[in-house]
Amino acid sequence: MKSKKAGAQQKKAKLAVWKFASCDGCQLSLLDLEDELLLLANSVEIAFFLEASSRVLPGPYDVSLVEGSITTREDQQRIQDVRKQSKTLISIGACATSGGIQALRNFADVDEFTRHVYATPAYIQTLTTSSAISEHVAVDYELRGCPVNKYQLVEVLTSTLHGKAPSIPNESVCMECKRQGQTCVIVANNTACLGPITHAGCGAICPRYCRGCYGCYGPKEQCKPAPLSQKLLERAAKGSASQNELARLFRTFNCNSTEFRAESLLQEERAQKAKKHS
Amino acid sequence: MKRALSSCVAEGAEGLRRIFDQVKNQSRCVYGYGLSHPAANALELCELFGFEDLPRGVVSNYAPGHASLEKEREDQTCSSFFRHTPGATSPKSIQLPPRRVIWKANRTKEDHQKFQIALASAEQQKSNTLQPNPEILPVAFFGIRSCDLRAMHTLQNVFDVQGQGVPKSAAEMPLLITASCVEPGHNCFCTSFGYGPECQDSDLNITECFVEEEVQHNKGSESALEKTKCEQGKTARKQIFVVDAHTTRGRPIVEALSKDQHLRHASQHETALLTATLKRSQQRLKEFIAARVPNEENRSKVWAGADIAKQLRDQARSKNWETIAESCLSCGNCTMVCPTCFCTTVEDSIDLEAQRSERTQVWDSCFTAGHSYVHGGTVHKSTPSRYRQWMMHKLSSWHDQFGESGCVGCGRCTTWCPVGIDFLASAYQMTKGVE
Ligand code: SF4
Ligand code: SF4
Ligand code: SF4
Repeated sequence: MKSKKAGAQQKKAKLAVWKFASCDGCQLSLLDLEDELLLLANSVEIAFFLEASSRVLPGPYDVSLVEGSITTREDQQRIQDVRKQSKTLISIGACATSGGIQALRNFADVDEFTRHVYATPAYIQTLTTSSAISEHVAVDYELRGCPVNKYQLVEVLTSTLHGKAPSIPNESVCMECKRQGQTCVIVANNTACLGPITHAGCGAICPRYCRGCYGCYGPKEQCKPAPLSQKLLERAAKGSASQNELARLFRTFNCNSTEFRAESLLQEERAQKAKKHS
Repeated sequence: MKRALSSCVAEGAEGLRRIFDQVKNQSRCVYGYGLSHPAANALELCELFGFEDLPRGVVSNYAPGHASLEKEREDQTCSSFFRHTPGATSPKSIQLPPRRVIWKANRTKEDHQKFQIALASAEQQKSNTLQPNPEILPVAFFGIRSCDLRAMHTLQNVFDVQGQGVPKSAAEMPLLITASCVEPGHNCFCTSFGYGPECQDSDLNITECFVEEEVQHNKGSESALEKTKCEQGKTARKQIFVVDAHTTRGRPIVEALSKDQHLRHASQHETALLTATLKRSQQRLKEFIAARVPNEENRSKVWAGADIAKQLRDQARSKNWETIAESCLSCGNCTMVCPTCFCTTVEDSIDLEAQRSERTQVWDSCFTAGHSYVHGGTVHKSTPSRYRQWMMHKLSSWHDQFGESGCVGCGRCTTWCPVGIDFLASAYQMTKGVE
């Protein structure tokens, strides 16, 4: 560590990384930092990060990163505990911020799922829903994405450590898309793209490869899916999305977010009605 | 229509190539509309490394929320060079880059509390404006349109008023070679502001015209002129480029090319053809505008351009903004593609050890919550209020702020709006004040 005149004796902040129901992808983004990882290890004390090290230091922790959603009774308890031990709690990724892909259970009957998946469903104890961390405890900052963008992760950590507001715009994916001079895939290709209503952060990766945005970062501020759905349906004949496909498009990693959930239910209902009629 | 008395003519693709090469030779790099890759579905402003990069035989089709390209014909002989209208990106991306580091700061080694601040180099500051470094050749724009030029001036005027401008010397300005819009797009409305489809204040303007001629079957002659014709049944299409130099920078280009016989004076017949071509284009523009502004009387008001400023001001408190912006997604695409929208924000970043800090200027939009964020919250919370802010600024308050219109009528906002909100039609709806 470089000698700091003022805060040389200052203790390093203790960092903890927690996992709930998730695929570990967001934690991997942390390990994937490469250049910044050593710097990070230098700047903070990694006190609890099971994916990286079995060394466990006791709490309290200065900063906790929480990955994953709440799907069991135990986790409901555990998150309370994590909150108590953490000065700053940052939830990272679609699971932690909205419930993740596993929130598909919120649209269906969990018992039926367990019956189909497990040989002995009786062993399975699970909640009927998957929910965001913020539905259980107070969260200081939510970082979106499935998975989170590693540069944004560094930005949030750096900002938290040094008391600065993170530069993480809550604008649309289109803004990132246009700044890079990408040709819009809705306008030019009739591709279904959720960019206009999706929170920025990924750097518009999909449009960059001529695909539509899947909404991995969830609804943006002022998210209004209805007019977009309508326009995409109007383009359906030209290869955009059908009602059924739209329902599915809204029902992925952020299916449990208020706006996406409502829109996917609406589109599903309409698709079913249309099917009955024909 | 005022026109330079001495229009010149270059014949066929070869003629145009001579002009392009001449421009290329006296500039650092040439920007123009092209395909960023062979399978691209839209034209973008990009660097043209050679004549082959011009989008030959590509015709653009625009409608609200729709853009497509069409190949004119398989056989490239005689296919057009300028039957498209501007692409999604505009010269704005060169005048005001989407991202630009403004300054960097490093902690000094001696005193940890002190910072050494490095401003972005003067060179980089200059790239904010139209002026490149005078020591090296200027950049050139080739085939951009009348609205592009207007937008470049409008944006430069913003920099000047805001004190960001670098004093101009004529020699440092980019070389501006424009093309007339012989096939205006459905979303265009430049003529509403009293200019276009031809450009009269660039260094050089090129108008592509086609002459239909009876084919004379004298097999013997294989002259250069003959090669510029392509047969279509009994008539042949001859492609000419009418060139008008408007400035002391444009004229030497014409003179050099004339000396080598690559340009000659336009014949009476060709001048008439030019007039007819532009007239046809103007007529089409009129039809396109009429389709969106059906009422003749109101149209004349929209046509007047400046008058709309007052009309919109009268509607500032109207409930109709809610209706107009009903399908608006607040996505910001319209402002990103607008060649005059200049709003930026700054992103501050520090390294993990807080040794270095950097401030980056980034394109912003009045459709984000951050744009109107002041102490205590966001002023424009709802989408309709953001939409009002956008339209009123473009067409109304820009006049108060910068003494001209903030809209140049290029139609990009309408083309690239994913839900196809028509800017002109909406402006008209607003001025009507209907419930
Ligand atoms: S491609 Fe998608 S993200 Fe990009 S501008 Fe179009 S709608 Fe927005
Ligand atoms: S407001 Fe629309 S039509 Fe006017 S200059 Fe901007 S993009 Fe072009
Ligand atoms: S007018 Fe269109 S492009 Fe502009 S913010 Fe609204 S939906 Fe997006």
